Amino acid sequence: MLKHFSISLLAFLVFCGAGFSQDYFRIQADISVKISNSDGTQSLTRGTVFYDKNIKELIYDISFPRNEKWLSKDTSLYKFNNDSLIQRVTIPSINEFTVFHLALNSGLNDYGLKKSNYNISKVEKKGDLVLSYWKIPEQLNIKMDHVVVAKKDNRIESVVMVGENQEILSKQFFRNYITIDAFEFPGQIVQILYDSSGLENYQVTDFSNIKINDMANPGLYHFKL
Amino acid sequence: MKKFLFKSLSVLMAFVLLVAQSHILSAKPLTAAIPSMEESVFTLDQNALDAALSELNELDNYLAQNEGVTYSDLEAAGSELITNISDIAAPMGIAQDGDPLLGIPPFWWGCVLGWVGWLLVYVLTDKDKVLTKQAFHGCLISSAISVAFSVVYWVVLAGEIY
Repeated sequence: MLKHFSISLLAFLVFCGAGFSQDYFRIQADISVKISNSDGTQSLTRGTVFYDKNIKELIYDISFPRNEKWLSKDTSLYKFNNDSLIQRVTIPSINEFTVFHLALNSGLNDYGLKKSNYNISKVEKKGDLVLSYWKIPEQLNIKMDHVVVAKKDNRIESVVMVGENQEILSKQFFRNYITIDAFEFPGQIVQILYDSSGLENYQVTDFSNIKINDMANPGLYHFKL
Repeated sequence: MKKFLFKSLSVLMAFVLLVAQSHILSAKPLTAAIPSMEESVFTLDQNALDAALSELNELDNYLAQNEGVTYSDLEAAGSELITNISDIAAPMGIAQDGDPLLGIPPFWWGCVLGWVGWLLVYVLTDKDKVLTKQAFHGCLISSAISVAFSVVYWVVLAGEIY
């Protein structure tokens, strides 16, 4: 009797555990990226983005300014026009640091810094916000001193990057969160980059029609080169 | 006794030197504490944002209601919506301008210009293997077509002579 009860209890606990720890591995979203620079240049890009955290290919199906497909894979960025490769550019391997990868791996709350070799320097509360200060290791030899992550209700609100002379290099704001089951994703990311004169360059990315774990169209998440 | 003292002193000095070196290596440089940040830094100036994006928002709203419209369509129609807006796609926030192949697929470089096009793709794309291979395919196909035409031409010519 006791043996049966123990087995039933164990099975129940395993079932509950599996139910609560749903794995989110795939995301699709319509995007609109607006860039407005201090020198007056502006651009708008619209399309759909696809990302599977296991495949690690970031695919953009762009509809504006023209129909193009972009694939970011490892350290290459491929651009296709009507399925014909028109350009390949070498870029840093960024896919695992994108908002898509971080959100699917529950790493967006700390901006992925916990798993990096950045060191948390201090934590303080300012109003509704909890600020954590992350020191950049000197070995990285980049022109940044520290990163400040602001969280509200345990959700990332903004990230500020500070330079060597304590000047603000950039700010990012994560807004209009969209919740799908237990998955949370910002509906809008606003980034402000400051140039050497302190002028502001804006980049606003809006996400809509977000789909998670799309099992019906696996081909959309892998690009055959 | 004197010899023993000298030896002990030597060992002691060597030990002190070793400890001193270890301390120097493990000592961290002094770094200034990170100054606290004001709460206002984390507030977005919505008015400034709206002002900076007014033209882009207008275009975005238009495109949301007119799916499938491209920059070329608006340009051909003389639309004012794109007056101050570039035609460069930047979904990752990186304005990737300056395509060395001028937007022409490498296959056509090889197909139209032959081995010259193939060589140009190789040089302009900084020895990119994938693009150079496509240009090579274009070069091969155009060469095959040229050979086929030449054979047909000579066969016809030979038929007329004999």
